[in-house]
Amino acid sequence: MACRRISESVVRGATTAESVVGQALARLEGDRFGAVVSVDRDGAMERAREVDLEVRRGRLRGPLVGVPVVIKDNICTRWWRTTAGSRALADFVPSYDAAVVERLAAAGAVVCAKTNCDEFAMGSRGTTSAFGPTQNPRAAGRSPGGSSSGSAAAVAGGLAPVALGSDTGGSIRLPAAWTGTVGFKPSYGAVSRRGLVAYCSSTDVIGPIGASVEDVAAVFDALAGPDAGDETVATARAAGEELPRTAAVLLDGDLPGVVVDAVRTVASCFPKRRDASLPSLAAACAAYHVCAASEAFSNLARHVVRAMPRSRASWAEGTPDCFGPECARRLELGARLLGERHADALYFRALDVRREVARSLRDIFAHADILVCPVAPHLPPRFDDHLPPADRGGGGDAASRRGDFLDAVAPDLPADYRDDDFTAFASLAGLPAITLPVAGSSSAGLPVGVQLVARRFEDRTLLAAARLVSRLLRDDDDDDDHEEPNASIYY
Amino acid sequence: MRRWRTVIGLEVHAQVLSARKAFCFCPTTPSEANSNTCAICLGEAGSLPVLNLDAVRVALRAAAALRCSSISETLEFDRKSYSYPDLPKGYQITQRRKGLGAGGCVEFEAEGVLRRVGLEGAHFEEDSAKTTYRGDAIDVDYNRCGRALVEIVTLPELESGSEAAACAREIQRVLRRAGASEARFEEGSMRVDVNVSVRDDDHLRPKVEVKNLNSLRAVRAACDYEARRQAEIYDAGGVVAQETRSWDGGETVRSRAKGGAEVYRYAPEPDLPPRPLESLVGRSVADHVDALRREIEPHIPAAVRARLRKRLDPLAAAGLVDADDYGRTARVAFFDACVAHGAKPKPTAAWILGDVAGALRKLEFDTIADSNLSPVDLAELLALLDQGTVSRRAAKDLLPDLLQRRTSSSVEDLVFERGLARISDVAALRQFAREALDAHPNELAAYHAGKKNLEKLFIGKALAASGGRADPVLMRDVVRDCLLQAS
Ligand SMILES: [Zn+2]
Repeated sequence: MACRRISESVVRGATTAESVVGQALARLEGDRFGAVVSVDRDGAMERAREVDLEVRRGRLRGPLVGVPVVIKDNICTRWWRTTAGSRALADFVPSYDAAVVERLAAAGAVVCAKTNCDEFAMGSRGTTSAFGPTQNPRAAGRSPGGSSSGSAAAVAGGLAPVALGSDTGGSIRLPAAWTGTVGFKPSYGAVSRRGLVAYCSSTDVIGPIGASVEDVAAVFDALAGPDAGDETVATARAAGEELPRTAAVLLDGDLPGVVVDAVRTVASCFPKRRDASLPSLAAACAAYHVCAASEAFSNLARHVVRAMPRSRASWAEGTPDCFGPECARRLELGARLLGERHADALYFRALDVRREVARSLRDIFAHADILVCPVAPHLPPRFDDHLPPADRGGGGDAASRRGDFLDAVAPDLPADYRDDDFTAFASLAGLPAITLPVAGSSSAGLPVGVQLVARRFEDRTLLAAARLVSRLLRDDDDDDDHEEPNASIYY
Repeated sequence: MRRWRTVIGLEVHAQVLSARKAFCFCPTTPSEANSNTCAICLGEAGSLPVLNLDAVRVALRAAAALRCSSISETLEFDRKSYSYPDLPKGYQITQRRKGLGAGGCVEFEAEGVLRRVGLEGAHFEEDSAKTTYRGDAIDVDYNRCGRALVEIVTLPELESGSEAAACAREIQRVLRRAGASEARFEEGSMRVDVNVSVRDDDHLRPKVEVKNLNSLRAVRAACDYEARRQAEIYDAGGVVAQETRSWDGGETVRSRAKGGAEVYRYAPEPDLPPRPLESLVGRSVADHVDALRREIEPHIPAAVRARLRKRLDPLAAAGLVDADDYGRTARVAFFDACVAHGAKPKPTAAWILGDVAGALRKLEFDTIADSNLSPVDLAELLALLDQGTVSRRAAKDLLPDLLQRRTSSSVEDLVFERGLARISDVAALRQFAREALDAHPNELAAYHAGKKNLEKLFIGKALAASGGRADPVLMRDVVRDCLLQAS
């Protein structure tokens, strides 16, 4: 809604993109949350003036005209440093714009700043960036969630109405949940990854974070669609925007009461509900980390080659130490998974779990239109809080196989891997998923998010469901008149 | 001393004929260093590969020409990781799990023996950049980086350096004839790695890879050297390290650049989802491969040689087939056309390989097809020669005219126009004989003094005086007659 209001005012001539962007830049330059890595004042003002020119020529329409956007710093911007939160890319200036940057520009949006993130999107706490940690604007002293920490914090902190993040195993949805924002991970293949600094190419997805479902839907509409430059983008756009009727409710393990309540509240918005279980939930998360580390191993190799001097002596010496500790640890894990531990076939067992997860989800979606579940097994933690590892789960042959797999890889997984317990499965299966904030449900005033998941390429069905839920939860059918704190500050 | 037998397998890398690189849109035309590059082939962060379908279609021609027994129904790619400046992404996109085709064979002659070597298969991959060293500095030219390659891997069935070289040469011919690659060593569009090991009666010893051999001579020499080196180590009770070596022109040396054995950490390429080959060729894979084979097979050296051997000796058959690579077997086509016009196979082949080839070389024509000589011309000329209308010498003299001629008059007309028809008129021959005798009074005297073998000299001189047009048998009689008369 913030987007539509800004866009309408700019198109109507009540304000100008230049003025809106100018205000946004001032806010971004005053960032106190460690949300922003770099602001492109001159470029953004120039782009804003171009938008105004196009508006006067009557050439721009739609809900993003003149809207200031911030994007995660792992999305390439031409002539503008793109760091992915890493020292390795501290001086990297791409020669091209990412597909999503081209699409935002075509829709009249103005990219103003690049946001902080966990190094190469590896992290769930917003703590591994070479440019320092990101603070949670809605919960002081607590993690904003990662890896799109800066994008979520920028929206939650009122620095920008919408942001782009990337989600590999939960990196949009988790920070959205912990900062009380709306975070949408589109279906894998709905949005081009061209220009996204790769982490785990088979699950990486770019998506929006905003203050409302309407805003993220508007940004998604601008981003989605085929791209000849990314062979993993689907060419056909899935139709349908039917409202889902049956919700499957997934509640698993030891969850805070407020999270359980929030999930039940959201589920109650749907006419029919049924309980669902995903037996491989913990194994899915572990399998995701195995896939991610394995793919990261080759994806990040180019940054090392780039950092190496072109001399025989330095190549004989070995590769430089250009990554932070968490990133280095995951790369080392990837190297072992594809190298020495290849014999244990952990990588291929992870692929088996991945297929099993997809099968279980197909079963769930055979009887339900939408899946409602937590985003994370806990509320925004203090920076030094960590969850214990998952237990092996129940009996049965399949469960025992999964348990063996978990035992085999658990020692290798990141400390906070269980942050991704409820997000990794949708990443593995490429399903669209959205985090909705459920206001006021935590006694401590901490944000609580609930996740909705739909079938692959039913992104618009998911967004329609999310819109319905947020309207019902606001107890207010007329969302046009609903005033959100974020929306009013721009005009 | 044990008897060691050499075991060699080849990995041939050939650049696929394509206007673009394998996974980006950069041109492949030769140009200034580092000018044919983009974010994709330079491995810039965030860049994604876009498969060049044309290059795959061309590489498929290679797989069909190499008689791969099974062509894959889907295209799948893998990443092969290694760290070196010639590979900006830190990995090469290749096909590890499933290539374009599996199986296949090449047939060739090595030292007069017909050999048939099996193939593991052929796969599609991208080329690395070209590195050169200036002291400690590594210069990299990324123009080559990302070019489409087809890699052909033979089974370890070759037994000597010369056999390995002959096999590489045959693969080169097949690739060229199939229109799949220029396969030129000197331009780097073909490179060969060899896997060399030795075996005694007990068992096969571990193999050593010698990389980046850039000539047939290097293939032969490196294989022989390496086999000898390994045998000597074993004979001395040593162990051959499993490592990657390179050829420095005189010996194989442990690769300093990339070190010893490598762990490539292969993994599926997530940026290129599996793609049905059918969608790429617009018909079923089996139909496509059948059609390709029908198109290419008639040009494949082994098939052509086998066909020609029915009418020619093996040497002539090989001569016609093996010499030119690019003109789509221009000589064979020419030979076939001559025979179709009634020429006899053996003399036709002899002329194409002998006098015609010589004249082409002298006049700097690349192939017979580039000249103006038509198969009808040669067939006619050979017929005139056969009938005795022209002498061999006259026929040969006429060749430069035929190669360069602009008129369409028949060869027979040309022969008479140019006064090249054979002279069998005895009065005219007597004239030439007299001239020869008159011009050599000393020899004539010697002849009459008893040096009867000078007769050959007078015959030769007389024939020469006729410009080679005189019938040699008649001329001999005429010269003898004149010598008798002169006594
Ligand atoms: Zn390129």
